[in-house]
Amino acid sequence: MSIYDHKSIYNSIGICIKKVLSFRLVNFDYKFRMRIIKFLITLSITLGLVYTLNNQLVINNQPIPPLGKFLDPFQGFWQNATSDPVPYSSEEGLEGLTAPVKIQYDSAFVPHIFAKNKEDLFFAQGFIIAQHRLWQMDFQTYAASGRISELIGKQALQFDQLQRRKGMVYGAEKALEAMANDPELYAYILKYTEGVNSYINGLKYKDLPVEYKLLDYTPEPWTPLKSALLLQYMIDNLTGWDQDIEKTNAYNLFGKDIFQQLYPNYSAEIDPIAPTPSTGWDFDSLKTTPTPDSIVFNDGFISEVTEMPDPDNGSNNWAVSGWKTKSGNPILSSDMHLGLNLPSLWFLIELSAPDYNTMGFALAGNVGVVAGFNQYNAWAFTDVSRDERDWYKITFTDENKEEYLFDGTNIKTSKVVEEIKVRGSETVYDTVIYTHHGPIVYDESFPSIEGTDYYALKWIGHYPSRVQKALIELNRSKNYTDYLKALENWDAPAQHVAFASVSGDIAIRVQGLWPNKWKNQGLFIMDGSQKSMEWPEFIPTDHYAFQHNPNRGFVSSANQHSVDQSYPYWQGWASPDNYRGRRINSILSGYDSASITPKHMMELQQDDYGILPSEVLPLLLDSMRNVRSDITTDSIFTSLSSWNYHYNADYFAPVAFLSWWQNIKRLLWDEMRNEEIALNSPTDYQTIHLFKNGIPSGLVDNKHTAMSETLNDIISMGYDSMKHDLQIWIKKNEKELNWGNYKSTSIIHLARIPALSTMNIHVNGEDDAVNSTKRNHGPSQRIVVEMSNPPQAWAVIPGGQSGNPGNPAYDNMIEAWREGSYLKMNFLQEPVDSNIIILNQTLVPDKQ
Amino acid sequence: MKFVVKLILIIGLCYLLQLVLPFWIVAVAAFLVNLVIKTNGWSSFFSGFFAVAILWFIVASGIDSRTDSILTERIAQLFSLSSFLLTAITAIVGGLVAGMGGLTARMLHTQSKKSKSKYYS
Repeated sequence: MSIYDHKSIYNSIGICIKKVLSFRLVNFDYKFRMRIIKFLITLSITLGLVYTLNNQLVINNQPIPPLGKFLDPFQGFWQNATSDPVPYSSEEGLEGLTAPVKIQYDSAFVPHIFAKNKEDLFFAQGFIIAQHRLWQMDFQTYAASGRISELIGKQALQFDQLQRRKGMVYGAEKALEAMANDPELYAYILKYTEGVNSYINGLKYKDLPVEYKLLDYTPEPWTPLKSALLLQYMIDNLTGWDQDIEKTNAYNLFGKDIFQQLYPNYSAEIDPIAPTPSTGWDFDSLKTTPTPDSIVFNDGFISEVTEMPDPDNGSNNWAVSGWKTKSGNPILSSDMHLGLNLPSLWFLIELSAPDYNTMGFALAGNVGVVAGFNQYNAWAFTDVSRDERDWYKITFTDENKEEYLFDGTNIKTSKVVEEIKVRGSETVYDTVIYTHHGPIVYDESFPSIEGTDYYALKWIGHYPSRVQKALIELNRSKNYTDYLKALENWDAPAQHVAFASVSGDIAIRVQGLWPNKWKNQGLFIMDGSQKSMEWPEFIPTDHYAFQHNPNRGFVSSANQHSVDQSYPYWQGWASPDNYRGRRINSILSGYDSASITPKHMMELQQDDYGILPSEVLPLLLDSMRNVRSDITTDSIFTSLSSWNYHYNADYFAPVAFLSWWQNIKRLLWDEMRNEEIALNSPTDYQTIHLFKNGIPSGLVDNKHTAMSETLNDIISMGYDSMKHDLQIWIKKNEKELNWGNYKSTSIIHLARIPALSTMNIHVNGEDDAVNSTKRNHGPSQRIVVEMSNPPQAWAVIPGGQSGNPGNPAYDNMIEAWREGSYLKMNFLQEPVDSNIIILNQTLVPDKQ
Repeated sequence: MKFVVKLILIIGLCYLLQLVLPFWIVAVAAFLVNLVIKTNGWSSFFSGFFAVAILWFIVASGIDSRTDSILTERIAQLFSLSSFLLTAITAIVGGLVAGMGGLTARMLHTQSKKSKSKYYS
C-alpha cells in the first residue's frame, strides 16, 4: 500500500463533501444541513483515521506497520508476548489425522512426537513446526523464490532478480518432480503440507507471528513446492559460490604462470578427508577426456560479479571409533557453520512412529530430521567444497535471442517471463532466457547495465535432488549398509556424511554428484558453443571416496580438500578449508586408546586455536624486529609476541593480529582491488605459502606508492595501518578493545530487524578455528552423540526452539552456545510420565 | 456523572467486543454510547478517548509486566522508543480512534448549547 493510495482516498472523500455542500435540499433548513455536513466531516475524519491506522504507511522509505492493528493490545503485537515457552493448547482437533498423536515437550522445550503411523507423524511434524516457526518457513520460501520485494519493496529487487535468474524455482520444481515420483515419500510430504496448513487455517490476526503484523501481510498456504524451495535454499547456500569469473580475469591479467602460483587448485600441504588407501581405490575409474587446447577466453574483463553466499558456509564433523573412547562406544560430533540468524535455522525434535524413531535437527519446512540419530546410528554433514557452478558464454545468432550457437548448429532458447511484484510500486517483469546449459544470469541489463556478454549458469542445483528421500532413509537406517543405501539417493549438495553406529562402525563418504570433468574444467568461463565444454557424465556413486573404520580410529571433515591428487577423478575446489581439518585431526590423533569422552568432543568443538596465525605471525614478528629494532618495546608488539594463538574473546592479541594481517593483505594484493576487473585475492593459506616461498615478482610492490616496497616494507606499513585502525576503533567504540568486542558476533533476524536480533555477543573463535564463530557466521548447531544403547546426545543451537521474538524460547540457548555448554537431549523413544515433561499436547482427529 | 457512566460503558463494551473484533470496533463502541447518552462535543470526544486509552494502557501494561517486557522492549527499540512511551502511544492511538467515534455521534445530536450545559453540570 503506498502513500498515493491514501491520497486518492482522501481526494474522493473531499469530492463527496463538496457534493454534499452543493446539494440543494429545499425542504431542509439551514441548521439541519449544517448538522449533516458536520456529521459527515467528522465521520470522514474518523473513517480516514481508522483507514490510516489499518494500513501500512511508508514514511521516508521506512514502512510503518498499520498502527491501529499493530498496537491494539487485544489483537496486535502485544498478544505475541508470552512468559510461557510452550504456550500451546493441550488438545487440538485437526482434520486429516487418522489417530491421536501425542506430543511431549521436555524441559529443553524439545517436542517429542509419538504417532501411530508415519502419515500422522509427518502431519504432526508439519503442524508442530508451523506452531513454532511459521513466519520463518514462509519467509525463507519467499527468499528462495525471489519474492522479497513483494514484502518489503524496491530495495530487494536486485536480490529477487538474481534468485529468479539463478533458476531457484526451476531447480526446486525439478526436485519436487523427483519427490513426486516416489509415492511413499510424496505421501509424507503431502501429509506434512496438510499439517502446516491445518495450523495456518486455524489462525486469526491475533495469533499471527509478529513479523506478519510488522510487515503487514498474511501467511500463504504451504505447498510441497515450498518444501522443495527450502531444500533449494540450502543447496544454494552450500553450492552457490564459485570464482570462475574472477579466475578468468586473473588468468588473463597475470598470465598462466603467475595464475598458478596465486590460485593453485591444491594447497601445498593437505590433510584430506578420504585419503587414497595405500592399495589404491577399489574400482576401475572411467576414462576422462583430455583437456581441450584453449580453455580460457580472452575478450575483455568482467567488472562485476553477482552476490554469492558466504564461502565459509561449511561445517565440522567427526566420529571416533569405540577403541579410542573411554566407554568403548563410538562418538559422533557435528557443528554446521552457516549464517547466524534468528529464528534459529534448526529445530530440535524427536519423531516416533512404528519402524521410525529419530531425533535431531530438522529444517523448518522439511520432512524428518537432517542431522541426528536413532536407536542404531548417528550421522552428520559437512559441505564438500567443490566448484559446483560453471558459466558458459552464450553466442546468440539473432537479436531476439531466439537461438544460440552450439556444436555447429543453432539451438532454440526458451524464455520465462518472471513477474516480480514490488510492494508500493509497479510490478517488474524480467525475461530469463534458458539455454540447455542453464539460465542466462549475466546479460546487458544484469547485474549492471555495463554488461556486454551473456553467461549461462550450469549448476548442480538444477538437477533433480533426492536428498529428502536420503534423509528419511537415514532417519530410519539400522546399520552401516542402510547408511550406504540411504546415501545412494544423496545427489546434491555434495556432503561429507559422517556416520557412527551403536554396533561400532564409523564411516565418512564424499557423497554427491560430480561430473567426470577433464582437468581444469570449469575453473574458467567456458565457451557455450563447443560440445567439448559440456559437463561429462556423473561419476558412478560407488566411485565416491570414503573411509570405513580406518586404522587411525577416527573419521573427520572440515570442508578441506576431500581427496588427494591420487584420486582418479579431477576435482575443482571452491574454497576448501586449510586449517580446521588439520587442527581436528591433530587433536583426535593425540588421544590414546580408551581415553575420549563426550566432554572431550565438546571441548574440541569449542577449540579456538588458530593454525593460521601460528604459521604466519612468527614470520611477521621476525620481519618487524629486523626492520625496526625499537619495536620490541611497543605494547602491541609484546602482546602479539606472547599470544598463544587462541581466539579468546577476552584477548587483545587476536584483534591486533587480524587487523595487521588484513592490512598486509590489502597492501600486498593491491593488484586485486580493481574497479574495472573483478578479482579475488589468493587465500590466506596461499598468501602465507608465498611469503615463505617467494611472491611472484612485481606483485610485492604496492602500486599506490611512489617507492618500490619489499615484503618487509609491506609488513611494516601494515603494522602502522593496524595501529591507526585500532586507534580509530577505540575512538568510535567506547568499549574495551578485545577480541569479543572487536569481532562483535551478532545473530541477525532473518528480516534484518536489529530489534529482533541479538547483537554483540562476546564469544571465542574465528573462521579458521574449529570454533568458527565470526561476525555473523558460525556454528548454527552443535551436537555430540555417544553411541551407547540407546545413544546419548548433547546439543545446542544459537537461538531457541520458538520462532517468536516474544517467547523466552526464542533465544534461550544463546548463552549456552556462547559459553560452549550443551543441553542433554532426552531421547524418549516412547511417551514417558516424568517431571522432565512440561507439556503434553494431543492432536486428535477431527472429522468435520 | 454522565461522563463517568460513558467511560465505564465504553470500557466494558470495548473489552468484550475487542476479544473478537478488530481495533476499529472501539470507534463503533464509543459512537454507540455517545449516541445514546447525549453530551457536548468535548465530553463525547474525551469519553471515548479516555475510556479506550485507559483500557488499552491497562491491558498493554498487564501483558508487559506478565511477560517481563519480553516483546515490549524489542518493539520499543524498533521504533526508538522506551517501553513506557510505546505503551503510552498505544493508549493514545486507541484513544484517538474511540474519541473520534464519540465525536461523530455527537454530530447527530440536535440539542442546543443551553440544554447541554444544563445536563452537564
